[in-house]
Amino acid sequence: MSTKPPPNPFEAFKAAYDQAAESWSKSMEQVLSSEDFAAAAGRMVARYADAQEALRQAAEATSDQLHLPTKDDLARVAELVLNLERKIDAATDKLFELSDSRPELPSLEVWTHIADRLAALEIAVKTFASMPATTTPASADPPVAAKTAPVAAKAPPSAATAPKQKQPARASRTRRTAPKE
Amino acid sequence: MSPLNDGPMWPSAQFPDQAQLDVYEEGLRIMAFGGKVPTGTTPKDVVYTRNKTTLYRYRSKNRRHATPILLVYALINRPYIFDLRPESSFIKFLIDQGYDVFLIDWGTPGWEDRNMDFDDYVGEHLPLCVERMLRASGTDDYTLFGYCMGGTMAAMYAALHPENLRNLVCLTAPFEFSDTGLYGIWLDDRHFDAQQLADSLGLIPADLIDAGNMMLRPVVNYVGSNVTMWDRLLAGRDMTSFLALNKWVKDGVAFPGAAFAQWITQFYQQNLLIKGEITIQGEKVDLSRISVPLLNIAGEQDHIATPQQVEPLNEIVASSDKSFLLLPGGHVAMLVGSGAQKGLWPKILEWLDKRSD
Repeated sequence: MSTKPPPNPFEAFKAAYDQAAESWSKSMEQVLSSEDFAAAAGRMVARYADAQEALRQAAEATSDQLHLPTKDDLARVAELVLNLERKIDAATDKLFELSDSRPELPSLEVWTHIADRLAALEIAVKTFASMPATTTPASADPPVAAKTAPVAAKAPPSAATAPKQKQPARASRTRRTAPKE
Repeated sequence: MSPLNDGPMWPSAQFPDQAQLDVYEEGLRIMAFGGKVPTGTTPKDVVYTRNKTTLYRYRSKNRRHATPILLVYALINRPYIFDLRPESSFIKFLIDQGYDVFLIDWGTPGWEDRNMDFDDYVGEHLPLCVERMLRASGTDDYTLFGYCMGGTMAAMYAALHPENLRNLVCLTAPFEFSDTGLYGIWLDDRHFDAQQLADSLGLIPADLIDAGNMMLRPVVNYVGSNVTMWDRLLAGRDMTSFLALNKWVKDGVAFPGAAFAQWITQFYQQNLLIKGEITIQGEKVDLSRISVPLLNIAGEQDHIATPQQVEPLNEIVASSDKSFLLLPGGHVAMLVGSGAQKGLWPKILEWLDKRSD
């Protein structure tokens, strides 16, 4: 009985491929580059397109009868969202233009910082408002709420530590974008 | 002696052991389902989105060059070919060399996008991405780098919007369509009605596009690639790169019908780009308006964008600083193949380094 390892079936295939690949390629190229093949492929693709369109129309008719939304219906909803996206982009562009043309205006970072501080102040005010009215000596410790109120109890950032206004680094840049909205 | 004549294929004395069977199972799994390895793993930020289009930024930890690079890929297949695996990532290579890199991913079109064409992509999305990229990068100029159809789109954009553009790099991008080999025969308007296909299907399936590309070299693509796979697998070689590329090849995206019809009709059938008769949002695309430094690269073995289709851009543009490189390699292997890191990449880097500060 044989004890040698079994021949690898892949090696047989690879040997056949290596021997024949070039001639296969040449034969295939002759077929693929013929007008007959191109005409047949064109007809096949056209029939495929016809079949797909018929299927789609049947699916749409069925969906219509069953009062189910079709792909077109969903696409119309998506297009509404895309229109909104365009409007947001247009508004963002306007904001950028304004920011570029008026460098003295506070940047978005500054506005964000101010909003954060206002929010912290609001929390602090609400906390104080919710405390019971007590008489506190002027020399006494500050109310507990003031210690726990976020940010407000901490030293507020001074003007020196606030984010600097955006410099008009790009003000000279040519405006490129002219999207047709 | 040929293994075919080497006795019975499965001698009764020895059946393949479990390890061998596992290898065969793995090979069959790859053939059936494709490669499954992580791809596109370089960290990135989303800078901007519009519809399905996403602009990504790959930050360099040691940015040395002021001019960022904007990568544009085709509407078919996925752009992670630029960042296939860490060891074969062109993007990682660029950011390691100190470049701020941006990438446009056109995304996967939905039914609602079936009417999108090059007016939308080149005339609307690309300008918005450039605008947002310049803001994010904090610079006034940039390098536009297009690959495959993305290179054609990049050149069209460069012709329409030369402002702020510093360099243009086109990699295996077709511009001249008078002789497109087998494509030209198959897509001849006597046989192939692209508009009918677009109208009927809405979105052209990725498999249909892939089949067209594979049929350019059917023996190599359908048989040879599997022979290579089995060869590597049975020899116990590292499969990671092969699987990553295999995954990318099979991971195509549908082509929006309107863009497909435009691409086939106006580019392949009528060759309007080189004649300056393509219009984007009503404006003619005149490639001779390109005057920025140009690096145009073709692959000697590229069957998808042949050197004859690529090179004519250099004859049209007005750039005084222009180069055409013909390098060994095919359409994809040139960018991610084993020779890319010593061939294509250093050549691109050398060209960019002189023009990016």
